[in-house]
Amino acid sequence: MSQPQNTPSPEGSSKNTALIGGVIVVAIAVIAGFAYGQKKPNEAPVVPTQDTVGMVPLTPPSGATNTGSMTPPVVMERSSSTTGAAMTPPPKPATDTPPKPTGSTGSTTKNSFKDGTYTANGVYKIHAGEEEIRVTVTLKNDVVTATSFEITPKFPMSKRFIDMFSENYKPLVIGKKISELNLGRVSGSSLTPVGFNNALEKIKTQAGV
Amino acid sequence: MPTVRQEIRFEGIGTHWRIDLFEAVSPTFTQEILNEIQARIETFDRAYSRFREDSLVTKMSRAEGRYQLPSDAEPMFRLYQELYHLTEGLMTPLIGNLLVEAGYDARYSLEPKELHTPPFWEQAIVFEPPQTLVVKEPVVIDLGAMGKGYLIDLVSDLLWQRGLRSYCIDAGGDMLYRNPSPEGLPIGLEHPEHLEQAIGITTICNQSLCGSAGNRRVWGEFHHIMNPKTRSSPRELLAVWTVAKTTLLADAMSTALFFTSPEKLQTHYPFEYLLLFPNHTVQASPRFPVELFVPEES
Repeated sequence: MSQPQNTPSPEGSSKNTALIGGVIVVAIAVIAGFAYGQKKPNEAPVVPTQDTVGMVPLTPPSGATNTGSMTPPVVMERSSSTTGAAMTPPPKPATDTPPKPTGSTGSTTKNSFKDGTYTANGVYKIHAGEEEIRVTVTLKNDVVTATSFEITPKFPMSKRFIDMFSENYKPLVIGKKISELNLGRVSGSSLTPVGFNNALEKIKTQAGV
Repeated sequence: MPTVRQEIRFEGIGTHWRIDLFEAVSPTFTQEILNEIQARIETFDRAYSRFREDSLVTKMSRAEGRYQLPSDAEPMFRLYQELYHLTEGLMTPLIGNLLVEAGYDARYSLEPKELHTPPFWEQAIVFEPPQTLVVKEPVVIDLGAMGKGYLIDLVSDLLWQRGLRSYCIDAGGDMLYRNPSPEGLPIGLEHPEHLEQAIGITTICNQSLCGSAGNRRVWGEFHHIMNPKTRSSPRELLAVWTVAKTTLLADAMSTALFFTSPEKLQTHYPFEYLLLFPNHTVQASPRFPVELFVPEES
């Protein structure tokens, strides 16, 4: 399986291309790994998460090793046609926030990659045909801070593998103030019984806390 | 979001209940139904609570014998039996012994004593459907893993029998929502470490939602869920939410997920889930209905 270059090239544009390409490859490799490789039920696939510092890992996860003659064909395409010229983030990212590059355009002083949200489409081949995956990555200070993906499977068989992928896909979450959301209800752990709270208070008093 | 026409609030089984009716009712009807609901909860509590001197469960903790359970017992005890086997004994109604030893006893002493692994199911009890429990050795039964969810379903049945069709029953954050029209109910998922925040919004319709976390009933090194083999509280998950057709199932799954994998449970039961890990990443089943709050670039 061919892998894209992972050394950053001088132009920011092809670096960004390589980055998105890298994310696509990882996403596709994981799905292909489920489809073709040995499936280990408890193995979590490597997908870009907030734990990834710097470059997104470009090596496929170990689950993608193949048995027999079935090699996962990985075909990468970009949704916007690139002719090697400067790649700007496509006009319709999967998230609603448009990318906001920091600093002056074209600056490559601090970050290897411009902060922003990038989306690209990738295609992978299965026996029956091709499936398309759309991946969105948000970068801040060269760290992937958020990722999401979309697939609408064309083939029924794909759905099972995509479900497995999405079940193991672990985005990072943050909290938003409930008072600022228009919500009537909140669900969390059960409220502590009054007696329990009293007991805790008593213990704190005894402990002189 | 449906409009609340009548709000009913009260305390029951140690938690706060809020029942919202989305159809217009008279004050008389509201009072009548409140009385019926509280009576139903009292009956349930008097049978199944290990915190009451007068309960059936307390009797069973003191003397062996053949006990007749209430007529509503079967669905709950059957599900406990199945999950006991599915989790290889980690989810057990006999966890009461260990909770008490850890300090979560009827008096909330919160003073841990020596901890022992509870007996195996077969060692202590035999469930004979429909409603007999043979207690071979006195043991503290704790039905907290699914008791509240089941009670919510029973209260819902009561409302339904009285002709109500559009309502939401919320008992301490576990809820059931019915509506003949396809109007979703948005519910915030409380951040277990910042209670004034939500990590996302779940929207349900004619479903039940249950949440479980180890953040509230906490004392020393324990929280209210305990692993009978390690004799400690599981820390691999920060919180769990489940959506299912019944609150009994959603509640049971929200505890089971602390002890076994969602994949294993989903081969036996239809439900959706969201797991929140200590590092704030989440794992959700594809059909768990949620809008998550994720970091934006700023």
